[in-house]
Amino acid sequence: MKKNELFAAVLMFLATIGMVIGIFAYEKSRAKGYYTVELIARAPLNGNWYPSKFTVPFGQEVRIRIRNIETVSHGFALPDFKIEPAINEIKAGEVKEVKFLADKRGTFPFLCTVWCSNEHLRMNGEITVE
Amino acid sequence: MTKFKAQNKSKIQISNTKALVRLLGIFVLSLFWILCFGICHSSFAAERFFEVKAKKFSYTPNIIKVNKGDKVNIRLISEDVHHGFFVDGYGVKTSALPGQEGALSFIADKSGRFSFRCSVTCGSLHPYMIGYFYVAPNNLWVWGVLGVLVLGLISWLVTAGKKQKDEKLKLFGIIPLEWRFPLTKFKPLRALLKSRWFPFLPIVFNLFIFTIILLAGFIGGLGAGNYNFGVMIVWILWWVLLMMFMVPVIGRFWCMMCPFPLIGDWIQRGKLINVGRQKSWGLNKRWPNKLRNLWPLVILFWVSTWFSGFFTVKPFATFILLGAIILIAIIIALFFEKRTFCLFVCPVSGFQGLYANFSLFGVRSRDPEICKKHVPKTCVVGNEKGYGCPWMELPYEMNRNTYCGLCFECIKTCPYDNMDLVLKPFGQDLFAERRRTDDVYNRRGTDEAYKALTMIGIFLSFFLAFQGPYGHLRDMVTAKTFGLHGYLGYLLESFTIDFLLIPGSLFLFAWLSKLASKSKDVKLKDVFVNFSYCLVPVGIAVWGAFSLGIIFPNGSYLLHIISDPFSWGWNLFGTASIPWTPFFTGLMPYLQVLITLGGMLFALDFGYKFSQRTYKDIGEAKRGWIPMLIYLILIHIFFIKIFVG
Amino acid sequence: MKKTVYFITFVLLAAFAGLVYYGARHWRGVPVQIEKFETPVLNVAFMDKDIDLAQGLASEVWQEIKPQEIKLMYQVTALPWPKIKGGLPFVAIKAFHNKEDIYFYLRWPDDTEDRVHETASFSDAGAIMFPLEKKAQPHTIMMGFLGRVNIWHWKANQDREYWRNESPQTKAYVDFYYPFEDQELFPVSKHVTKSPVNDLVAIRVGTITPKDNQEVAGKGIWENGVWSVVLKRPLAAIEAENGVNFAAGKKLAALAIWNGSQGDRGGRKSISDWVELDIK
Repeated sequence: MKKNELFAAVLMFLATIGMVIGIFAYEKSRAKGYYTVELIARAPLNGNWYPSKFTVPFGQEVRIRIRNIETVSHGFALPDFKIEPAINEIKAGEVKEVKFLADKRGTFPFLCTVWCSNEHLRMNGEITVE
Repeated sequence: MTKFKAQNKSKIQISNTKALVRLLGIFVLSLFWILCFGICHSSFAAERFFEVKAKKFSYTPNIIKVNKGDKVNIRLISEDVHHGFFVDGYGVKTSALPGQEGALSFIADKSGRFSFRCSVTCGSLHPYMIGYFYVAPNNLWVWGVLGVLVLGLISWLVTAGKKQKDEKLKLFGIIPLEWRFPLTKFKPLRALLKSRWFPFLPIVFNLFIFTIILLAGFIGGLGAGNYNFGVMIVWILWWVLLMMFMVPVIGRFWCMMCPFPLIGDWIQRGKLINVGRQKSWGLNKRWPNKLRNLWPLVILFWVSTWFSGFFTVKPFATFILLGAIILIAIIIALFFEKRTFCLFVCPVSGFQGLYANFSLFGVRSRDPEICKKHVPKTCVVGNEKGYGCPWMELPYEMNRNTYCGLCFECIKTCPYDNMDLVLKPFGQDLFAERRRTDDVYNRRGTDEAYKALTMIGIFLSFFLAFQGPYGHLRDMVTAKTFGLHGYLGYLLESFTIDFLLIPGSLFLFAWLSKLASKSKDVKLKDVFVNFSYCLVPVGIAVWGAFSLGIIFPNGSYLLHIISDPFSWGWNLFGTASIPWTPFFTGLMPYLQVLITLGGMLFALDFGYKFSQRTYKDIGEAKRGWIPMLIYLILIHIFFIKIFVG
Repeated sequence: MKKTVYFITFVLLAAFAGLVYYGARHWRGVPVQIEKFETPVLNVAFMDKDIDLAQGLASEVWQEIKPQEIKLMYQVTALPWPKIKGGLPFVAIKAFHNKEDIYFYLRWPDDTEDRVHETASFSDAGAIMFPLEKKAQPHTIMMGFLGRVNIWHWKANQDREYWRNESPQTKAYVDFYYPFEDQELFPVSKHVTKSPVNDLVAIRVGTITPKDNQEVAGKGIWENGVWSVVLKRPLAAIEAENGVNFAAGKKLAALAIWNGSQGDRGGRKSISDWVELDIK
């Protein structure tokens, strides 16, 4: 009878805590391989981009993963670099990845390109390459 | 003398019949006239232009009316963010960004009422941003009302012709309501139900899904509910399955695998799957007598609907709601005995129990003689094979589904294998014999009546806010403002409709029924309570029709969230980029009318039987039935109106 | 027993409260820190000075006034986006009035002086937009989104034609008229230039209409990669409903800049959020 309980306990653990651990582990593993920056898109009244200013090393192939955690669409443009793939719109709840080569030194703006809120004009941030 | 009397009697009978036939003829003719007027109404097909402004979360104008054959041109202007415009039934769509208008042109070749909805995620209430598009003539509305009237007429004719009380109650006069088929005759099923791994395994599966739901709600924060696993699975999938299939057909099947009381059970029993303590660990209190009825559940469920504008759309609100319920379930389990939580506190429990009286399945004892001689009753006290009924029911004499959570412990414990899972006709439990009158298990009181009534009221609020064209209702429900024109107004309106207006309307017709029956000693309360059970099939039907309005437009989001549950950019099954695709929206109004009429059918059949049970003799029952019949006709015309009119 | 039960209850409640608190702090991904934002205020003081635009921009008059720097952002509803050369654009703005006329001074960086507006090359331009309704719409996109606006649109090519009396080199030019964005090069014939500044009224996208009375005068000079433009108009408009009226108090305005060499024309421009004019 004890075996029953043990087996049941294992199942329960896998279904709950095991699940949670597995989910976070999988998410972490997706970020491997590239120099990745996680960027969260929020309307300015909800906190704007996070991080709104960040630095990447010169010469690095940078991968930016942009998560739109809001209920409206946002966009992303980094006009001074060629970003791949070019993004039209990041829908609510979507995650889009862009890649670019940080081959210029300096501070460059990135902006939201979809009218998302009344404060859309303020939705920009800075990337510094050094 | 006798001969004379007989002649008189037959003369009266003939003149009665003649009158009936004449009445019928006039009725049918007038119906045809209404129908022809409705259908044959025609006019020139014109070209119509509409400028529709879209804002979170409503359109201006929110109601558009054209004639069949018109060419409709829509110019969509967005007043704040990217909005869309999709017409149910036609499947045409456009969208508008602020600064860029959208244009749509189509010919209104299908008549009826169609919802137009937003097709671009624009905010938290995006799936409920709806307006109504009418293409005259609205035939479905006419047919629906006709259907209601015809059903009412048939019921009147059938009941008017009855000469004595039915000895045996039969569903639609065909299926005896007492009929039961023991499904556990089949050995594999019996073996499954007797195993301790059932329902443990479905419970594990459910717990796994639930963990993901809670995690998704927590991570989802204030993001888009339609792309969140928690919100979608609970309020789109689970709710629809519950209302359309689980409760009406398999009764409290959900309670069998519900994750809420699990942790409480483990703490009380000290074991996960095997048989541990029979008496719950903890303070093991008995729920106070004053609260041993459905009133706590009526109030709790109503209170939980105050927040429907939040938890159905914001992932974190769903997390708080579900987390709070689990927390309360564990705490109740620590303080009280067994499944007190499920019986008296769980908000979902009230209507599940009441509506489960309608369902096809139940657990019943087979041979009452065996149970009479069996001492001690292991189904109540438990043995090494299983626990005594955690719902504190008495399985050996249980004859209603209301408080049975289908945990199958009694099937496991019975040494005579005398408990069966039975198949029974719809509504059998509504006519079950009344045994004891003091305990919650067998009473029929105003608490159960109010449960049925408030469910109708809550359906009304939900439908008008979430599937209606009224933007200001959506603002009220989501507490855009807090005053009398905002959230407080919503609470007041909800209270007035649920606790005053709808019960008041039933009360009025119950009083009319008592008046019409000319009965001297029947209690008005009994009339009110007994007839309130008519609202069980009605409630199931209207909630089912409402659920269609949830699943058909929004079901495609489910494909997205199984691949990307947390909006982290996953694509587990490759379905993450499936765009929003409503399906069956053209068929939806027809199904809604059919379901509503189906509910009316059962309500009429049950209603007359309730009338017979309430009143002493057949004459009183027939007369007392008429006002209730009129009430049912009126409310169903009202429901048809809000679904398709 | 009782103590254990109460203790467990307390722990559970505390744990749940903690979870809810943590979740609420992070319900927008990470804890929210909103940058304080204030609508920039531009003081329009009274100065007893007069500027004759034919003579020049009168920089000595303007030197006394402190500029307000207004950030601009590229318009995004029109694709594709312009090829931006590093950094967001901005405009420095100054203003004053002398009880009869009101003067605005705009200054912004631009690598090239583009004074030709034809089908393939585009002129630099700058504009100020004033809402005509009491309640201004929440954002400045689209030339009068929900209410009417009065726009003063200074164009470098018109400036050249007016001040240098040069006739336009071509009869047709291109603008970016809604809803013909797809046909990018939509030739429109030119009208005779009355002033370097177009005085316009608009209520929505595509409704730009020149007013009957063109009251705004202006002049712009490009030097060392910077445009300086002065706009002048009598304080009281001739057409009261169609022209913005400047009474003492607060008034909203928004700015827009076109950089011709970047391909800016019509709806493709950089725009600013509302600026509050404080007219003394």
